[in-house]
Amino acid sequence: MTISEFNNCVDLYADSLFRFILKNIKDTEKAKDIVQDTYEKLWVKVSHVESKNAKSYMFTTAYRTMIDSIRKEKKYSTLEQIKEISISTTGATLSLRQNIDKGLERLPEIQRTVLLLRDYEGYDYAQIGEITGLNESQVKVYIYRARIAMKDYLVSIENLI
Amino acid sequence: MIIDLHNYEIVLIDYFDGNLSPDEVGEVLVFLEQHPEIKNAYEGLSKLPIVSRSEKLESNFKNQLKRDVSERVIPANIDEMLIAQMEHDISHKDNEELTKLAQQYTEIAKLKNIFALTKLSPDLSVQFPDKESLKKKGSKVIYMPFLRYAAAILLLFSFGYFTRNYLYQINNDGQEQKVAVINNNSRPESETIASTNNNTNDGLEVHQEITHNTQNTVANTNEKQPKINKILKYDLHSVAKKNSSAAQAPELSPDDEISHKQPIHQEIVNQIAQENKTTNHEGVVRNEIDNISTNPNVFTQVPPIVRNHNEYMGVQEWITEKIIAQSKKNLYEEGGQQSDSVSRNIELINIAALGAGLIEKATSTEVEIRKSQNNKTKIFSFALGKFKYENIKRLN
Repeated sequence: MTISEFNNCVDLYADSLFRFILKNIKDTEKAKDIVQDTYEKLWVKVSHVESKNAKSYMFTTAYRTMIDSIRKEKKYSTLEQIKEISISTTGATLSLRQNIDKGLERLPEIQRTVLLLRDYEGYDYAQIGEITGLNESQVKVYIYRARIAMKDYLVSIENLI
Repeated sequence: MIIDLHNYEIVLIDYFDGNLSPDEVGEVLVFLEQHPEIKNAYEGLSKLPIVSRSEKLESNFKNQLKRDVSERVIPANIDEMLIAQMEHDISHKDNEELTKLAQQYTEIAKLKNIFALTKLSPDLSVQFPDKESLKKKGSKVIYMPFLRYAAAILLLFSFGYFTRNYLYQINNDGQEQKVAVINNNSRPESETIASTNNNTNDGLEVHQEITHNTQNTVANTNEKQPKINKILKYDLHSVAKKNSSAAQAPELSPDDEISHKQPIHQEIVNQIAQENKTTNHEGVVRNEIDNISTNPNVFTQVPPIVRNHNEYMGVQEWITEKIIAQSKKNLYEEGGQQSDSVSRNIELINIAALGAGLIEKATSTEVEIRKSQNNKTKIFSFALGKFKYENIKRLN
C-alpha cells in the first residue's frame, strides 16, 4: 500500500471506524484513541497490507483493540459504574432513534458488534467472522438473537407508550 | 333394558337425549329413586337445553371456532422468517409467501415493521474529528526488527570509511573536535593482573592491562605469557588544541621521530618473528605491537603516537601502521608474498573501529569492536549500547 492509498483509507474509513467503535464503547475519547491506534498499526504494516484488504484489516484491528480496552476497563470498573448502567431511563420518554440506541446498548457485546458490522458496514457473515474470530453459523445466530432482542425491547417500549 | 351401576351413565345420557322408550324411561326413574346419590349428581343435567338434530349452530359461532392459516404461521417461525427476509437469506418461495401474509394480516405487517427498526443505520453526522492527523506525509516506514541492527552496522562502517581521510586532514589542520576509540583488547579467558590509566598531555588516554592469557599455549613450555592489552582513547579535541599551539611548543625533534619510529618498526618485525616461532597468534596485530614494551607507563613517558613536533598520529595513520605490520607478518607467514586480502581485512576492521569511536562520541553510546583469534577460535564482536553481536568461528 502506498502513502496515498493509506491517506485515502483515512478519508474512506476513519469515520465509519470511529462510529463503529463509538457505538460499542460510548466514549468519544477512547474511540478516537482506538481509531488512532488502528491507523498506527496499519502504518506499521503498510507494506504488507494491500489496499483492497485495508478496511477489513482496520476493522479487525480496531475490534481487537476495543475488546482489549473493554476487558481492561471491566477489570477496573467500580460498583458505582455498574449501578449507573443498571439505572436506565424510561423508554417512553425517548425518541425512536434513542430507543433503538438503548436497545442496542442492552445487547451483549458480541451481538452488538456483529449487528453493527452487518448493518453499518454491510459485511457478510464470513467477513464478520474474520473480524470477530467467529464462524459463519455463530455470526448468523448472534445476528438473529440480536434482532429478536431488539424487537422484544421495541415491543415492550411500544406497550409502555 | 337392565340398568345397573355399571351402565347407568350411558342410559342416563340416552335418557337426557330422549332416546329411550317410555318403558325404559320408567326403569331409569325407578333406578334413580333407588340411588339418590346418582339422582343428585345428575340433577343438573336435566337443566341443559336439549338440542334437536334439526337445529343448526349460528354461523358466527362456527367462525369463532375456525382457525386462520396465519395463526398457524405466526407462533411457529414468523420471527425467523422475517429476520431471514431482512437478511436476504430466504428462498424466493418463502419470501413471496411472507409478503402475501404481511399484506393479508396486519399483525404480521406490524411485526415486520418492528423488525425493520432493528436494521441499524449509521448517524453520518458522527465523524472522526481530526482525520488530517492520521494522514502520513513522510516516506514509507518499513518496520523490520533486524533492519535496525543492520542499519547500525552499515552506518558504522560507512561512517568510518567516509571519514577516514577527512579525519586525517582535520588532525593536521586542527579545526575539528572528534574522538576515535580503538579497542582491540579482547582476549577470551584472560586474566588481568595489572591495570593502569594514564592521561597524557597530548589528549591521549591510555588504559593498559597486563594479562596472563590462559588460552595461550607456548610451544614446549607451560609458562604463561604476559600480554598487554591496550585501549586507546584519542581525544582529537585535545589534539586540535595541541596542534593549534604546535608551532609554539615543538616537544620533539626530528631525531625523536627517528628514534621512536625506526626501532619500533624494527622491533615489530622482530617481535612478530619471535612470536611466530614460540606462540600461537592471538588477537590482532595491535596486541603484538603492544608486547614490545612491558612498561605500563611507556606511553606516559614517550607517547608512541607522536611522530614529530606538529604531527600527531591520527587514527588513519595508526591503521596504516597496522596494515604495514600485518603485511610484515604475512611476509613471514607466506614466504615473502604479501597478501592483499589480509590487508583489506585489517583495513576493514580498523575502519570500523574508527567509525565506532566517532559514533560513540557523537551518540554518547558505548561502541565496541573486538577481534581476537587463538588457535581454536576466531572471534569478532560488535557492541552498540545494549545491542551486542558476536561471531565465534571455530578453527580447524
